[in-house]
Amino acid sequence: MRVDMGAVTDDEVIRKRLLIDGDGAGDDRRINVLLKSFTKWCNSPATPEEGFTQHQRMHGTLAQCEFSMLKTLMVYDMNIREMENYEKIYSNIEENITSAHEKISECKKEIQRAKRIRKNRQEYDALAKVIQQHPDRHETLKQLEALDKELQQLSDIKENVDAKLELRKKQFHVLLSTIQELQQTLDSRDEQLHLVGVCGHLDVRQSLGPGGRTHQPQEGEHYRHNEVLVRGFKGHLVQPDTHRGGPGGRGQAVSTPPYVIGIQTQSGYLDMDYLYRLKVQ
Amino acid sequence: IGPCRLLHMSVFSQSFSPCGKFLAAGNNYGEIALFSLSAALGPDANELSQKPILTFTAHEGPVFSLLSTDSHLLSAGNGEISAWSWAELIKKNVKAAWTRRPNYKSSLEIPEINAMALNPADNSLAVGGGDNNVHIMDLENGAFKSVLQGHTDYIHCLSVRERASEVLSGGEDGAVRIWDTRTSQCVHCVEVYKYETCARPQHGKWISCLTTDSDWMLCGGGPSLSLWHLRSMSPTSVFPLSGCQRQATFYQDMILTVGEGQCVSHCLMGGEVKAQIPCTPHSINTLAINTNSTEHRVLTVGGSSDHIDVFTNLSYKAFSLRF
Repeated sequence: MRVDMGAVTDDEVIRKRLLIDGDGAGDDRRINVLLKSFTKWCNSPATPEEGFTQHQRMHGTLAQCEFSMLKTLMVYDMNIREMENYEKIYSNIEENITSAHEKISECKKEIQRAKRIRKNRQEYDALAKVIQQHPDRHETLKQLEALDKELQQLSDIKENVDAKLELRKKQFHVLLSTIQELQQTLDSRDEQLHLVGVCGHLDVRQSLGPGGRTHQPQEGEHYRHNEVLVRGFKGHLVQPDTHRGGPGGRGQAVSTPPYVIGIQTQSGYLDMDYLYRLKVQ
Repeated sequence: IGPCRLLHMSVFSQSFSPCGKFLAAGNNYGEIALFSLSAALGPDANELSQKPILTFTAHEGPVFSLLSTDSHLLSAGNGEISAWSWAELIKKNVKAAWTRRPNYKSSLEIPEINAMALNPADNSLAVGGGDNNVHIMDLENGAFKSVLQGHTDYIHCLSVRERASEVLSGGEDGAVRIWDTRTSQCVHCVEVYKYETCARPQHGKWISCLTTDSDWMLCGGGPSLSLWHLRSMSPTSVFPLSGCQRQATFYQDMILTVGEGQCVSHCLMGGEVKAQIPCTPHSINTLAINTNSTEHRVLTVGGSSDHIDVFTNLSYKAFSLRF
């Protein structure tokens, strides 16, 4: 350790001496020489001319020394100013660096924000794509309205038809019950009663309207109809299917349904017209 | 480690330390290796700094899942969960803090644990594996609070939806189930393979990758990777990636996904694939981003190779860590 310390200080010393004497070999030496010559001149018993020349020489050397001193002073000034200049540049650059740092962090924040915005936009787009696949609300509402109207109309029609059906059912029921009652009364009173057969599909308007077609059957004809033997009778055979018979002509006595016969009683002939009028009105 | 072992090694799971300076990776031999990121990313990094600072055998079976809490590293292997203290691991002290095993019904075979997810809301851990159930464990006292039953085949992946306190699970049966943690009931069940836009019958119906961003969910596997809007339960975009994806994550405005191809795919939420960055492993199992540290913010991928690729800039692979 001791040796190390010695080496370091030695280096330092050498460096210092080199620095001091660095400005063009001889400044230090010149001062030493001047001092020596001054002392020699002071102590020399030489002639005045030599003394004078020596004196001049010393002045010269002194001037040289002053000159070199001025030079170094100026260099020193210059160095100081350069240092200041560099300091200024340095602080300038420092400021620039800090402002650049700030700008960078600002930009980083911007980019984060922009990325978030982009992500939101993409989410929005994705959802919009899904929503587009579903039909427009206005369209659907319109369709719903149209369907509602149709539904209303159809239910109205249904009500009408139902009412009509009810009415016809009632009418039909009335007719049948009337016939039943009549039959019962006639049964109870008269045995040679010809039955009335009613069957099948009745077109009420055609068969029982006033002015149904009539036919003059032969006497003694038998008509089998729905297992009821009906004897020919005097009177009218009312045919419900008006189109079967010719207009005004003699209609066929058909044994196929449907047809309606009037009721022959001993008191007279009751045709369906009469019965109809009797019950319904 | 012999060259033959290195050749057959697969990295299944990764996790970053809470300080962000270390990476733990688990492989199929049941070993966990600890890598120092500060050494590998430092200016004087060399071959040696890309090797692990610590390797130890954690389980008898492969380590399929690794998870980091604030102080511990949780590893799942061979049907059990072990916890290792990060502070101890950094000091190279290998001793498990605790080891727990969920209550399996059958004691004949031990089902493996495929996925773990942390629910910070009530400090619980959701664990899913081969017994078709999701077990919820309370980290405070280590007791298993509840079992979510409903899947008909083993569970591949789990994810936690923080805002709604729900757990999502995807399994081999192709169903993504959303469970409410408070009532332990299945709130939704989405069978992804039934949707024509996503289904890929030639690959199968299993769901191996699931992640959620509270409003959105990414799921994929046999069916194509697709982005779902959770409020309306409808798929909004399908990504045209050819392989089966094994892990996906949301990162800033992008979706990063890895799977069967030899690349990391960068996708946008609209459904387009922006870039595919090549990496070393031929088939990638795990992708992790170090969000715990700002100066070591890297992306690491591991797969069917003993190399773990490190990406300092998302656009290219910087170097590889080796087991």
